[in-house]
Amino acid sequence: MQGFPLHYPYFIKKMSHTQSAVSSDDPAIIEKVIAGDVNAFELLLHRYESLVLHIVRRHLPPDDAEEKVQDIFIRAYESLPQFKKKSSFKNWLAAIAVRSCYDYWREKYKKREVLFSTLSEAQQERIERLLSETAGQNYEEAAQKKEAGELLDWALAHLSAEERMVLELVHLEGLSGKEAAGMLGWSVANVKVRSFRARNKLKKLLTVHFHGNV
Amino acid sequence: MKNRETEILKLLAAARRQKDFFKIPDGWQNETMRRIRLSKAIHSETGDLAVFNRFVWRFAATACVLLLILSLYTFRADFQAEYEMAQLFMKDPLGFGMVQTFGIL
Repeated sequence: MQGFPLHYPYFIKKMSHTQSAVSSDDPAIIEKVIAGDVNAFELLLHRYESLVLHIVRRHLPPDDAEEKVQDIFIRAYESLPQFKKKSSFKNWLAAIAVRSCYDYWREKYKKREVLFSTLSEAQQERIERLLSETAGQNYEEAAQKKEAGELLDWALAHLSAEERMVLELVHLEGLSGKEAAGMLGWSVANVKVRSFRARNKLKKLLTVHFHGNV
Repeated sequence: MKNRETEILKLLAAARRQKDFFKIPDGWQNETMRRIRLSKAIHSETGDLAVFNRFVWRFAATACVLLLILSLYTFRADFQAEYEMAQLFMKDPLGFGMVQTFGIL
């Protein structure tokens, strides 16, 4: 896997300077692990568990999060020999986490395990009320309501795995096309095309269901 | 219209941030390390063999295409070894016999 000179913005903001200083000895720890000191990997696991948990919590449902976090660290451990030491381990690990989440959704869609839930009339009414109330208002406050979560889950379930990841990374997380491309291992053009399609699809979905408010 | 769409996206983004609060029970770190210790050992891929292995895969697609073309050619040319041998024998029995005597065929 290639190294990524990119940032996972929301995590970088949270990172303290102390953590940045500590991460400078990552290459030495990686050398130790590759040389056969498996226990040294525990240092990396504790150092970056909050990063991986943060990504997994945002992309996956709670039921499967724990297993996926473990899988991500195991995948990182097994891929360590391919890690280019010139790049940052943190960004490399973040890319592994994002790609694992993408693989998770691809698998789910392939097995048709994603429920294309239809909104009940009552739900639809409550969401419509929420949409009309939030016009130009405080989103954080509105988002705490159950309806906002229902709307998000319903909308994401109607997109493909690719569209879902791109919409989440670009439109909901605010990553640039280049950053999202680095995370997913796609070309920037591919990300732009899929991002455009995902947004259009979402717009159509919302227009059909909530034409009064979109 | 565009503003409304952006507003809805902002609402969805905020709803997504709320999802950040679910807890994963402690103990997964120990379980991960246990699984790692049980998994196969990893090795540095700096050796010549590793570099060779990486290059081999780059040519895999070309090799497959070549194989397909050759198979198609062979199929279309109707090549059959026994038939070719019999034809050679019919055309030049003496030459064929000599070649066989020297053990070339």
